[in-house]
Amino acid sequence: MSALGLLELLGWVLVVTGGVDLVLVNTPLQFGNPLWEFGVASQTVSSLVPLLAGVALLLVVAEGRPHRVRSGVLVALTLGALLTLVALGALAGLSVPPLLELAGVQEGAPEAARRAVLKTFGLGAIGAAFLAVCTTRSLRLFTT
Amino acid sequence: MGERQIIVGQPGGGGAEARAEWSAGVEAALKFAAWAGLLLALIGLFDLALVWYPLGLGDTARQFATLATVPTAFPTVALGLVGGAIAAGAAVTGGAARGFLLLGNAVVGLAVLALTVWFIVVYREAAVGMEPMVLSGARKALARALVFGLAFGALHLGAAWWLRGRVPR
Repeated sequence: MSALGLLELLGWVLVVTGGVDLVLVNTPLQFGNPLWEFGVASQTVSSLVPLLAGVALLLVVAEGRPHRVRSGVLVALTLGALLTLVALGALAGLSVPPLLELAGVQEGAPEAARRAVLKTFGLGAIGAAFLAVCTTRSLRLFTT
Repeated sequence: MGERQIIVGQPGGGGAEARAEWSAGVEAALKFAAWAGLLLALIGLFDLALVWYPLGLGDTARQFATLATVPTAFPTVALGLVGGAIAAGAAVTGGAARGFLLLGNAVVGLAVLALTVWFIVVYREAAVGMEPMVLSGARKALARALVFGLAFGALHLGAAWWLRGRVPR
């Protein structure tokens, strides 16, 4: 196996374990519960770094060893992750007003809730921007 | 002014010199990446060690909670050790980092698999008498530990095997 092959294996391990982690953290589904809806987005962006590192490694390999199928898989992966993140952002956005309302009942809670909202949307925006760049790059690799 | 020029290297002249300089730069960068990988792995292992403090080996619930938290540190350790191994293996001269990374990957790979087996044993003890709600969470922790343990254990052992073939004898 070449160095790029091992790098690709590391990338896939990070992507698969990161994906499994996100699925396990966010199940069972409780749509309609604002606390859970916001928690999904919050926990997703908190554990996004290994998955993004894996995507970056796969992109490095695709750049170094261009292959149509590999690029196609990468396009599907990055686009899927980007759309999921955008959908989670929309879900979290809808759950913010009821969340802040709930937090307003307890003393000191609104500050913590605002910090959590800022962290979730800040990290989510950075992650989405990173995935958008990766999607564009992998699309270019796929079409050339 | 402003026109782009194509500079063609002369064989045995400036071109060869530039290539040699570039190769030396790549070699230095790979060695640096190998040491940086080791450092990243140490940070991950330190994080992993802190999870065990204070040690509560007699308490099954505590062991279960500790072992369920351990996989969180695996990606950092893998990025450091396996990423470092790739850099050390790609470099022409390995240096001391290659030996450390070979040993580190082998030891961590075996340790990850051993921790996974230990977690299964502890789960079987801890699951007895758990509330259905808690049991559902425990099952998710077991699934996570199995996926992480098998994937990262195999990855580290594979990296050690790969690097072994590249150690100069």
